[in-house]
Amino acid sequence: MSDAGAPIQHSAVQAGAPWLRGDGPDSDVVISSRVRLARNLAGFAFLQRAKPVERQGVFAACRDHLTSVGLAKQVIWAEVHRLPQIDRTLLMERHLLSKEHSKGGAASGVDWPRGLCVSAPDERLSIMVNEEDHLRVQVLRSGLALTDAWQQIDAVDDLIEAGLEYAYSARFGYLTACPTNVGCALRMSVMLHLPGLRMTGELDRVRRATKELGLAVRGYYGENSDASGDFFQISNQVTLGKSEETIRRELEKQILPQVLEYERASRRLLLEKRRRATEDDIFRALGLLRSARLLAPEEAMAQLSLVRMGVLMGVVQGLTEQAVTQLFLLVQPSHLQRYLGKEMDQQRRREARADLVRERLGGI
Amino acid sequence: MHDIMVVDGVRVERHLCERCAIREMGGGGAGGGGGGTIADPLKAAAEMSQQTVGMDPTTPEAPRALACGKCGLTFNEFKTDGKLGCASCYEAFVAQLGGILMRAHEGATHHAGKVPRRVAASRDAGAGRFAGHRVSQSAAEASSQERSDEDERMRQRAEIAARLVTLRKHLGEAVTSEQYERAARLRDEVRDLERELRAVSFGVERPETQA
Ligand SMILES: [Zn+2]
Ligand SMILES: [Zn+2]
Repeated sequence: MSDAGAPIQHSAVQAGAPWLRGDGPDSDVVISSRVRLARNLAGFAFLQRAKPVERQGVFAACRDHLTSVGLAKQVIWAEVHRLPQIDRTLLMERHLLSKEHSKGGAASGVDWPRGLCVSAPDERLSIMVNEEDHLRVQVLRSGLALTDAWQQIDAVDDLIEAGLEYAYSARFGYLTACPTNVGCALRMSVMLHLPGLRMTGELDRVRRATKELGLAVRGYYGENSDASGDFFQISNQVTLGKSEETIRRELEKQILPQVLEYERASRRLLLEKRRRATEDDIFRALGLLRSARLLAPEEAMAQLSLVRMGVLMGVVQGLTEQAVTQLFLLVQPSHLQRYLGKEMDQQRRREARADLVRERLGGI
Repeated sequence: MHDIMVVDGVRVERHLCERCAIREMGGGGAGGGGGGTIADPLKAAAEMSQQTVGMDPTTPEAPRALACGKCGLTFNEFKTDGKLGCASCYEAFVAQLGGILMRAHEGATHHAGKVPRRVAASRDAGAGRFAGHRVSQSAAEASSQERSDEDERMRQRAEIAARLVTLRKHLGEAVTSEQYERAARLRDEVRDLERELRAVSFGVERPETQA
């Protein structure tokens, strides 16, 4: 227990994240589905107000219960506050750790014990301990799988509650540090890949319609990231007064079918009406990735997005969608360094990123 | 009627409003609020971040020294960063939180989802019957939808969505000006309209599934 350990093994880095496998339902458009619950323990102040001894108490109680109650066949426990920075960034890139949880209070000189519990090797389940709320439970799935994800997290929630008493009120539901999360304290989100809509200029319309339905739209990196590229995260905002089932249905049935259909229609339209120009865009992207000697992460993502669409359209032969999608993760700074087994500065990373992408995509 | 609130591992009892009382008696459907309302939480969130939460005009004037008896957080401290200190803060600031919650959650005032097993169990034991609050996960919902009249449906959806935007705006104004009766009426209208929106989306209105 004292060893903070390396929660993600080299082999896992090479294999990419399971939720990026691209084998889930509707994975041509939906990269992944995510469900997150916020929970606090009865009898302890919320994190921000908790004294050091309380934080330690929450940490220990959660560690003991989460690692013994059988949440998954195997779970890995990591002491986040003791992990090297590169491992924390790696976990963030894998969407298992939030930025706040990674940072803690080290900058202000008052850090506190923070835990992360991850199911292995599938990484579908992850639980942050001593984040803004005592527990932030998350289930990630490849493709559109909100129902499956909810069923898993619902069962996990019951198991956690079997040993740890939650702060709950009949009127307000699960009590959270931030009143915007109170109620069922559930955030459901899907990560969408929408290059077709961007290329046909329909993206803003979809974004507007999504917001009209009271949903949040974010970028690839979540919370504070800009939804400007080809990747969008759509999630519910309201957590009070709606059941989990209602939240899921509103997301899965009211907005996603339309977005999926629009994106597919856009891709068909591009092939039917603008085939040459579309192929040009895709093959230029592929040419760039196969030839570049220096690559920044944003540029890599933008070009990989086009190539992924090209593979899915059948325009690009000889590459699998999975090989391309895996690169979304491997081009991120910490993954790149872990994959190559050494720490590098930004310039060296741009070189290494270009080399890796050329190697993976059969470059010159 | 008394509400149960788990604080410090101790069940704290307190007086219940009529609606909670109905819920507690097993009228899950009546008080569930599961239909939800469509409002604009983005707008609400934006408003919350623009004017800090505390400047929310719906917030009753808090006594200067209003503080949580359990953790000591003052309401003024809460206003600065929007985070509560402990479970008891929800009780201590209940009057002040009402408007803030309504803003952030489309006018909702009550929880309508999962109930922790041990709370449900103690309620079952007290009432001697099955508690109907747990959300059933009927995976049976058909995943494929008929796509034929999609264009017409999209048009209708857009129309309803536009009306909803206006209604929600009025709802926000009603809450802001503390016209709570009007707000309740508007909330019902929003809810009806949302049902309509669902009907257009699905072709038929599906009842909430409750186990
Ligand atoms: Zn009540
Ligand atoms: Zn408090």
